[in-house]
Amino acid sequence: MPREAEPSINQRDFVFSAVQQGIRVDGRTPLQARQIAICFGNELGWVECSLGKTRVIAQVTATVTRPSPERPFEGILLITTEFSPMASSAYETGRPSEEEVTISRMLEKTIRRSEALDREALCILTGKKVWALRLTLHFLSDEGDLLDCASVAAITALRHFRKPDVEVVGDEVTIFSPEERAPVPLSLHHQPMCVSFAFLGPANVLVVDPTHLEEQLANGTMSISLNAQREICVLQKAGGVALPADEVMRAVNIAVFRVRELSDIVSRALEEDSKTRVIEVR
Amino acid sequence: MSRFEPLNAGNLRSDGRRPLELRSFSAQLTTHPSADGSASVSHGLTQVTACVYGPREAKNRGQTMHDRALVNVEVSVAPWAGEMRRQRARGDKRTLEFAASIKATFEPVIQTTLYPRSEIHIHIHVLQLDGGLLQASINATTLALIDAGIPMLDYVSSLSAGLYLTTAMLDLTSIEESDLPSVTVAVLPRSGKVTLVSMETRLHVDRFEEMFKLAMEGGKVLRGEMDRIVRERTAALARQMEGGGGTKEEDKMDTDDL
Amino acid sequence: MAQPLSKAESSYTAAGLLNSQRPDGRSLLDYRPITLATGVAPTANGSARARIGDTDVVVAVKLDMQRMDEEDEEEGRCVCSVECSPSAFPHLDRDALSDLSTDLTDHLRTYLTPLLTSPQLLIIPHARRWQLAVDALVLAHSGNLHDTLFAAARSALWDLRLPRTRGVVYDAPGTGVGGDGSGTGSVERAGVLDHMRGMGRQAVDFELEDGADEGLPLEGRDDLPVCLTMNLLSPVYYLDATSVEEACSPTRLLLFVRPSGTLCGIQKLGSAELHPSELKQALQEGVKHAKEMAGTMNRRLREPTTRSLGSNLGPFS
Repeated sequence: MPREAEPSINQRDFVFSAVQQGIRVDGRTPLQARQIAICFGNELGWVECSLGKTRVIAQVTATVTRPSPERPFEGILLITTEFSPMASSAYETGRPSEEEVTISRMLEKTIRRSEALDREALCILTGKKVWALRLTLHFLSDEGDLLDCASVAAITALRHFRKPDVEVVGDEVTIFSPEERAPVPLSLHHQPMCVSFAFLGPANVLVVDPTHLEEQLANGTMSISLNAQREICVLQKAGGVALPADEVMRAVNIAVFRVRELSDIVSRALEEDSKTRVIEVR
Repeated sequence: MSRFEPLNAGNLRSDGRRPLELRSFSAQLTTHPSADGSASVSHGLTQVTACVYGPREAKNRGQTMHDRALVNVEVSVAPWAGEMRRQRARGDKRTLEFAASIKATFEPVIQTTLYPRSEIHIHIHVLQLDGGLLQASINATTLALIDAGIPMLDYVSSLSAGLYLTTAMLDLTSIEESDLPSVTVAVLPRSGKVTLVSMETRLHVDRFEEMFKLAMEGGKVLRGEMDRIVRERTAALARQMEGGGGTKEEDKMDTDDL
Repeated sequence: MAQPLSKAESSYTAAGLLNSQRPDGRSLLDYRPITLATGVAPTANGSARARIGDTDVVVAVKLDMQRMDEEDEEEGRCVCSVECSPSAFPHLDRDALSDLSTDLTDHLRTYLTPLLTSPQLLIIPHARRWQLAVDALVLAHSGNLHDTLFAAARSALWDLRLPRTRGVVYDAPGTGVGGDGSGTGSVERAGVLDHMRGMGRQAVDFELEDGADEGLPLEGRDDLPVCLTMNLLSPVYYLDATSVEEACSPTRLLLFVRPSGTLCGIQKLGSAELHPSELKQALQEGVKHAKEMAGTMNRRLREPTTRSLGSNLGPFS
């Protein structure tokens, strides 16, 4: 595996002393996040999200399959993450690195384990036909904080997507094309999104939305998934620098605000998009 | 099936413990003859063995670092450990993630700078699983590292906590883990700082703090117990050295030749 | 499989063995201390841990209810796996380790699991049965792995308890109870309507019987084979070799012997050639030792104290 070059000592000292004085290399303050931009494709459920130079595409597709015998009433949600060398030379196809595993597991926990999607609403015919949703995330460029960007893209895509309408008469299932009947949106229980932190320098200054350089230099990182209802879905601080409990709680509180902000951004973007799109003609 | 009741009217849990009571904790040091350090830890029915090799020359030379030791963690789960028999493939993402978080927990605590260009390999074996996998693994690894004589900044002691309605409880079993929101915390007891927090279930922010702080307190208690075990073991070793090798190490095991 | 051994060390050890002297002072036919403990894994239906010297193997047996297909034969089924911990073989890389695991799994599959097809494992004829899963984990290795593995597997199967079951007949409206029997218990008329499985057709299910005891032991458990490894270093042979001693025996014979003395398998390891007359003699001797070992093991396992959590079985002789 090609190991990425470590940042030089000069670079490290510069970043650390700057952040000590409350400013980051790209001019942000520690608690300031980069500009987030969301754009939509022609298809429903195709979303590109960028956070500074970090870019992630999320795409949702739906097919009809048989449910698993253990859960005959539930649809299926499959999350796949596609890391390619395009995002950063550190990623290799075929062999997942530690970082990739962490990101994809975190997304899995944020969206699937927290039951963000109402899977029972994906059931068409008990034990026979359910919707299988596939959420694919393509990581286009890694300039730090891939996870936050991906989680925003994923939630936006799930909210943006609409599945074809179906009608069940007895055992007969009819799936309508978008021309016949307007497709219906997915039902989401809540919208969890990730906020990542890095702890920099000798004083472990907490910064939000770390860049790639900051991630490399960080003494430790921490990711929190929350929804707008102030519920923590995942909290992951896997090792790294040890912190006092109050610092963890501070990060949690910062994340609460950040998620509310992100939710607003997502809602606004979806609203704008719906104005330009004709889905339903009444 | 009747619904699972995490806490009954008498304020007792399904296994008869009080909310803040831990399961019986036991640990043994030097359980593996071939490892440089090893420990076996059990929290109730959960049993985990950790083996430490090194510091030694790295197997994969390309990964060595010029200024500190490389820490490698490998985890394997016995097929019978859980409720259902399951054979996990080696590349299983959950296991990899688990290994990665153990690695990240111990990397800053081990004084890796004392062993440049070498490797410390940690192997974790899960023999029995009844909740608290992460806590047992971290505690076992701490003891195994101590047993191997690798310098560390502090003990790392870990404990899980859950919340039922408004009552926080410590050291969850697997049935409680599947029903309640739970958090696993690893602390450095001397500085009182927290190095690992892992929560995978939904919980309101306002409820989180109490549970989190309680788990930290519990972790400190556990550290005392671990310290006692290490000291007892060392004292026993010292006695044997003074006594000039009187009894064998495993004298309790009454064995004989066939 | 063995650690690389220097020429000097191997010739020194071999010379000693030819003189009936072993590094640890045993005679050629002595075993190192054997420790057996049953019931070591509370989540399994049967488990045991065997230690010979420093070689340490844990085996657990789990039962899984399995639906039977039409083409399945009317007998029990058993699957097995052996996992070798990297901590037992620190000098092996991953590929070599998985090769070794496969090898050992094959041994279990060839010589032990075919014997585990007792009709006792059927719950409902043609419909349900217990599948035995025998999983072994090699925790530490210092020679004589096969003997330890089989000792552990055998003890785990000894420890196994099959739950008592009782057949249940769903009484569909209009049809009588067929009452064509169940595997191990009596048929009970439950009078439950079965919605899921086709109306009108009679389906048979089972329930677990509540009982004060823990279940039934496996039939024929005292006649399961042991493995005995004969290390041949012409003209002597020795038992229970340590890793070093294993490395200097050119031929190793694995004998799988039932306590009654019948031989269920032989396997020759090592590249050296072997004359049939040597084989014959080795077989006779080997079967004798194996019978003795199996007898002792059965006696130990039969002692009433053994079915407690993690009990050590004490001295062997």
